[in-house]
Amino acid sequence: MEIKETKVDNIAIYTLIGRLDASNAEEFMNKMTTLAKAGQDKFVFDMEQLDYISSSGLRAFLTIRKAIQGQGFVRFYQLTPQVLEVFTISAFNTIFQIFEDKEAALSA
Amino acid sequence: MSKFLSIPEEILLLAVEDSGGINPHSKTLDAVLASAVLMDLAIRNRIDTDLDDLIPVRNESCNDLVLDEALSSIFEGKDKKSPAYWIARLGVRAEEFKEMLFSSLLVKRILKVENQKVLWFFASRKYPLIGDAEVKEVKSRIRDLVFSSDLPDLQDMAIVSLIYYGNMLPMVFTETEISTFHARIEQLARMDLIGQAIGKALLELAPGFHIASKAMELLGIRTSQEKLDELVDEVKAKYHITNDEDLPDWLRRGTPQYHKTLAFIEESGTNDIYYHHLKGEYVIKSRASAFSM
Repeated sequence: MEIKETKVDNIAIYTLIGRLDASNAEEFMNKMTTLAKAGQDKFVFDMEQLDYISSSGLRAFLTIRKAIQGQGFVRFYQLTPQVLEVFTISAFNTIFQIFEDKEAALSA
Repeated sequence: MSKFLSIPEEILLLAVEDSGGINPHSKTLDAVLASAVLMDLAIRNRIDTDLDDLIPVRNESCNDLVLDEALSSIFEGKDKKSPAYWIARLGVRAEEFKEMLFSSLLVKRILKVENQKVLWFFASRKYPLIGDAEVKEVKSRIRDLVFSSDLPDLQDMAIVSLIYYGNMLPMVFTETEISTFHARIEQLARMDLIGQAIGKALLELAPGFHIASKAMELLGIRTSQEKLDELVDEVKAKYHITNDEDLPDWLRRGTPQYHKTLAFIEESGTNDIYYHHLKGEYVIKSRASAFSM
């Protein structure tokens, strides 16, 4: 999986490209939780190009959210239908904020 | 969180009553234990799952007898299968896994062993708790999680999922609590894809796990082959095995172990048995003693 990082108003946006599964979930999780433990508390994920997510990927997002201190957040936008189905079935749509587009995710 | 207990160990502890027997609310325990093994392997990044498949990831020891046995079986499989398939396959070995888990909990000095003579020739073995600290700790963790809006630890999330889909909630919650917090419990239970798959598998498999015991033996004298055929049919029905190739070798015709199974039934007179792979022994379920074959 490829990760591209951009910043808007000091909020980091991570564009995830490809598949998030056991082959890369641990590395991804470690990278993000390191940032969270260092004090970064706002994570926005552009999911438009993420084609696949497994249970390892879901656990990575859960662990990242738990590592964030204080009033921070993890937000997602533009989920593909396949990934949205996984989020919905696993009730992740009830614990994470999901938005239609970047503007909505940043202005919420 | 009791870091030194695996998910299957914690589930078994929840199912053990003070007397050392198994709680009557745990009729799906075989399937739940098989599922607990898969969840633990997933958290340890040895397997992965999606909406359809269980994917082997890393064949590396977990330093846990039950988990390593299961992982070995999964890596022996040639094709990618569903989590439900593996719940059924591992469920076949649930008695063996229970014995390993009991041994592990004995070594950790959480359970003790009590041997009792029920009849002059029958021994009954029970595993009562030495204290209740570990069980209280698991229940307390799960209850605190459900009564809060906190995000779960992975192990706690797995246990909520297992007791929810395995109909074991009454071992942790009162009826009123189950009713009041049902939405929260369901939310937590759904949060892992293995939980989802296990939920479906348990719904499909649960009736099979209630198969009446050995009442058939009372119906008349049968040959050893008929008793073995009945055992094979029962296992196939219970675990939804449609292909004989998926049977364990001790129940698969043509294997050397199958002939030993037949000989053991001939000698013992009962088909209420399972084969303990690690020990290389047959065990009569209703007795504590194990027999080498």
